[in-house]
Amino acid sequence: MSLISFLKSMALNFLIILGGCFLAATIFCSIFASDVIFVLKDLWMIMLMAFTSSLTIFVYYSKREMSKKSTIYRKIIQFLMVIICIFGIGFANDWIDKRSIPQLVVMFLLVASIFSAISAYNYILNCKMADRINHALEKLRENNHDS
Amino acid sequence: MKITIEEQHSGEEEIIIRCNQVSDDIMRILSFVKAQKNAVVGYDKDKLYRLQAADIYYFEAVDNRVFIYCKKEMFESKQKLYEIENELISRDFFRVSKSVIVNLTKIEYVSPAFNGRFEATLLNGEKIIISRQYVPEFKKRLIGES
Repeated sequence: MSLISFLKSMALNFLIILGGCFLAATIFCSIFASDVIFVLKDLWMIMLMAFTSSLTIFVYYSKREMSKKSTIYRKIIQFLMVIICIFGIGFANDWIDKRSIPQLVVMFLLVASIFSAISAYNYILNCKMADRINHALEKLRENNHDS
Repeated sequence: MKITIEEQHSGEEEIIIRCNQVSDDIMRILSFVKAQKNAVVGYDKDKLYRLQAADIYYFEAVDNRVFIYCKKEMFESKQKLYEIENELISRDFFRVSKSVIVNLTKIEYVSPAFNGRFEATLLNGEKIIISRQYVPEFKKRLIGES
């Protein structure tokens, strides 16, 4: 994949992750801090969180073709990097209490759910693309058979 | 039937058939000529075979050698993969990775693989990977968008 396609993909991921961050923040605050008031700095910090998380897509950047094993390892590394980004910014802004196990568990589950949802979304998109390709292949075979 | 062969020393070779009507004999000649055009030479040990392009499933380059895979048989080609690609690109063949050129009509279906790649299952059950780098061109060729 070229660097330009990669950056396009990163920009799209940023928007999806940003949506995920707002969703996670809404759920987290509803459980642990229903009276919280957001200031402008918090919104920028959520944007920063989404941006740093979207940068983790660079673990897939490779000029060589990756094996299935290598892709799985990179997926795990990406997940760990996202966890570090979210928890790092969360701790730095005192959004997450380090001593509260429920808060740590809920935040981890939220990140894991959103990470899985984005992966599933990408997989569904690829499945739809595969369907369209299969339809085109079927037509090609039919045309070939007719001629 | 009169047969005339004119030798020329440059330009594209051409076969012109002048006939009163397109009879079965003429059709047989036509299909023979077309078959020769679509033929690919493959070697199995010391034996040479003329393979019809339509019977080939895919070509694969391994350690500077190029192999031709048909439904069950495998042959070796003396041509380089890029030469084969140049010859067959206008037909239903397409390069899906650095080392594989596949006959699109022999793909039964494709399914998503990891990280933007696709896996093609051929009509003989074999599976080949459509590399991420070649996916946009592959989509463009089949559905007109990358």
